[in-house]
Amino acid sequence: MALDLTTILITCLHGLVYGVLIFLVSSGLSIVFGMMGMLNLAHASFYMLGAYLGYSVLGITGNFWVSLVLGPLLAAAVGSLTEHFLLRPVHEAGHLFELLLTIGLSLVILELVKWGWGTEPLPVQIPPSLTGSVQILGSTYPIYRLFIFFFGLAVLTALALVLFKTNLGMIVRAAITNPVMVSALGTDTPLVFNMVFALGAGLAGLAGVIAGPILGIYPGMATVVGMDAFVVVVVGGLGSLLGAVVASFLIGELQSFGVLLFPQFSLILMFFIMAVVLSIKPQGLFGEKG
Amino acid sequence: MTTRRLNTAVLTIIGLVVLACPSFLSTVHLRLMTEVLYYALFAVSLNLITGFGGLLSFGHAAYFGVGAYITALSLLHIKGLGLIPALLMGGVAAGIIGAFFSIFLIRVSGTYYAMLTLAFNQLLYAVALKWRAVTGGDDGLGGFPKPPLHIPLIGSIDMSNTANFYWFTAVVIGVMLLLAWHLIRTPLGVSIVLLRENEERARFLGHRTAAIRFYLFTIAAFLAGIAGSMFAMFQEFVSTGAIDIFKAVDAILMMVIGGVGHFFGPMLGAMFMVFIGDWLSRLTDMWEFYIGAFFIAMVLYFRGGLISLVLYAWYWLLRAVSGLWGRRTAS
Amino acid sequence: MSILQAKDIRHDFKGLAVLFGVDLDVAEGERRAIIGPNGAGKTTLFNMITGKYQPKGGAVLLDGQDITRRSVYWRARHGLARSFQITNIFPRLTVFQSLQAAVLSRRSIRLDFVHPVSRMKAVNQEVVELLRRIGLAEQAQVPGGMLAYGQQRALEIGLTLALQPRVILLDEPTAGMSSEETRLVVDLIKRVTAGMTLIIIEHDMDVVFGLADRITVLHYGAVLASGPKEEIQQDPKVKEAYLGEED
Repeated sequence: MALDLTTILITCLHGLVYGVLIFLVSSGLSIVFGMMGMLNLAHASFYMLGAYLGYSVLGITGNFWVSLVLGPLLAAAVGSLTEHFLLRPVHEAGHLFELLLTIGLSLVILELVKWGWGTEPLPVQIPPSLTGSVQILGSTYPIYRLFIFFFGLAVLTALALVLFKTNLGMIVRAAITNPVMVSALGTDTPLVFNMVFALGAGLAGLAGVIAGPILGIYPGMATVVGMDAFVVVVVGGLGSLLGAVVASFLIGELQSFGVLLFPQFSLILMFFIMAVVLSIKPQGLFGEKG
Repeated sequence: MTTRRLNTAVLTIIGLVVLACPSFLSTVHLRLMTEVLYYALFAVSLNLITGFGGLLSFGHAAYFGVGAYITALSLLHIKGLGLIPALLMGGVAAGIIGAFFSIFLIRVSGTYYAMLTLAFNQLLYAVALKWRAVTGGDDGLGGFPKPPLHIPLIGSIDMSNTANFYWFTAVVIGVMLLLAWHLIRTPLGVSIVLLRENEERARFLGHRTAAIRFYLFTIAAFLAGIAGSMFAMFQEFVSTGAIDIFKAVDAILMMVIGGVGHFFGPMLGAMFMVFIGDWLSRLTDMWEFYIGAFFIAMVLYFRGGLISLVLYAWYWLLRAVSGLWGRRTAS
Repeated sequence: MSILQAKDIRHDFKGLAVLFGVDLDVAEGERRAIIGPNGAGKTTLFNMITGKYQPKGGAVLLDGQDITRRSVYWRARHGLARSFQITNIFPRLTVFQSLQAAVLSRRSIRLDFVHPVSRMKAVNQEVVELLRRIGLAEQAQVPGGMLAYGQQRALEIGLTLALQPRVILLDEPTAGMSSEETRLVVDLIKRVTAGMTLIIIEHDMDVVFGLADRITVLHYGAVLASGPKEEIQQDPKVKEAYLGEED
């Protein structure tokens, strides 16, 4: 394999694109943990739901942009209902049962997806308006991947703006760090929790819709991306959005170069890193202690 | 009825059921029952960590898988290896892995512990998947012999016979379960429960919780390894399915559906998953959905699991019977 | 002879200073009360002494030996036992099982996976004796979480006692109790801690003067006064800062 500058830069670019996607998935996971103290093991299921639902919307409307809006919204709706009817009642039983419920949820969603859309991968295509490639860095690069990168970045920026520049964002950030206090100040904490959970699900669903054409839509997609999301939140630090950003791009590049340089070991490497971080510094790069 | 008498009653019933099976079950069902036995051990060993120790382990399939692979590999590569040695090799290898991992697992709790067990499980899964030369990757390992059981002074018993293998499994699993049962009643068993109830207070009572965990993880890993060993010898085939996340989730499902924290719970859960799973899978392709939905219902409404429902029904029955009896003798 | 000493203990939590060089010198067999307004640092001091936190400065000595770096379980094994202000028991274990766990630990039987606990006669006899001493013999089979508040506090003390410590530290044992319950608990403490070195954090002045020989007054993380109880009672500084506010 020729390891010239072009290949390296292209691989870098691939890493950035995957990093953005993984960030969209893991940001919700991290925030929900920070706010509700619970790791949602079914989080990647929303990624999968977004992809499948988006595909169906595309099939009905024939318009990619509509599916780009409706897919995540539907995923967010499922998230909201799940949080309200399934997670909230289990909350008082403790972390063990919360985790257990999310396991059951991921199973059930997986089976529903298989029942609804079959077990074969869906024939997704890059939307016609975004096909083709451009000349970049001495090579051709698919326009769609660039779209993913810039669109994802735009979503990230919008998210940051809302969180850090609006009153609502302030409440959410406060709820992430000190939910009890926020509740004592009169905010409807359950509603905030529900909205944030739905937001996380929606972001994951968005990632599913845009990732579909390049990563495929198939029943096993949640497990694959879910594992990477776990690695990211562990490395970045559970509850830290900054950690999720940094770790996403780190893991994105690691995956990208891993596949290029030592394809046999990249999977092992991912889990090895996760194990090392958890053993030595469980809070990751930016997480809170304990 | 005291707890001790109730426990003895349950043990007797289980013993009788296990003894009766070969006489009443068809070959197909006897094979299912064999699966129930080793899965019961798998789930019980997880329950030691999660139900009694209070730590949710996501990676218990790591030990089950190691037991399965090591037994398969040793039968494949060591000519003339006996049945019991093959079994023990799987169990001991899993115990060693458990001891090794516990060095790291000792230092984390709660969600971080769950994630680290997941990471370790997936690490071993990735190794099993990629090391095709040794493990066969996702094609798996097959064709290893099923040696006969040598009993000194009696002779050899052929293990390809379903009933024979069933008895062998029943004895092995029975011994292991009794060991686990006994463990709960020893000082180490008390210490383990302290971890779950109040780890901080346990420390203030002089307990070195790291040491308790080390013993707990190693013993549970060994037991899971034995279960995996039996699985390998029974199925005569081992692939990454023995060590992947779905296997780990299977153990969790059995434990929770049966009743987490109760010694007999996971055994009931294993019976449920194997028999109901088999029956459902014949009815519909969506059987895993129903199991998953049932699992969610248990987590929401019946956290004590099936065993708590059974015990509740039993106590209700007792009260009803004694009420009737009282009325009879009174008149 | 000094059995427990805290020397110049300084500590802060992420920059928020709580202890500013606290000295404590407790003689063997002494009965010492630590009093002071809420937030003065009393429980933090206990946490330093028992090893829950490491002080940022200063040292803790047991029998002249520096134990500042020793773990919580080491200190518990070497004669330092403490109870908690907020009840910290084993909710689903029965009173008998909880005390049994403590007795097993005291006898260094913690990792034995061979001998069943039910056959350990000496251990179980000791538990029965403990139950009698703390007055919970009737509640032996009740899970800790289902006990009445006063009974839970008695169990708290029982767990500490089971370790047969040389120094017993009680953190607000009468917290949240009615005067009747307080009287019972004080009687209990008097009975069971005879011959031990007792260090008690308390707010109830009647309890303090009833149980203690010497009093240390903590105020905003520093020792305001320390001495025999009669002296402290008369000390104008103490009266102004603390006793004067008492009703």
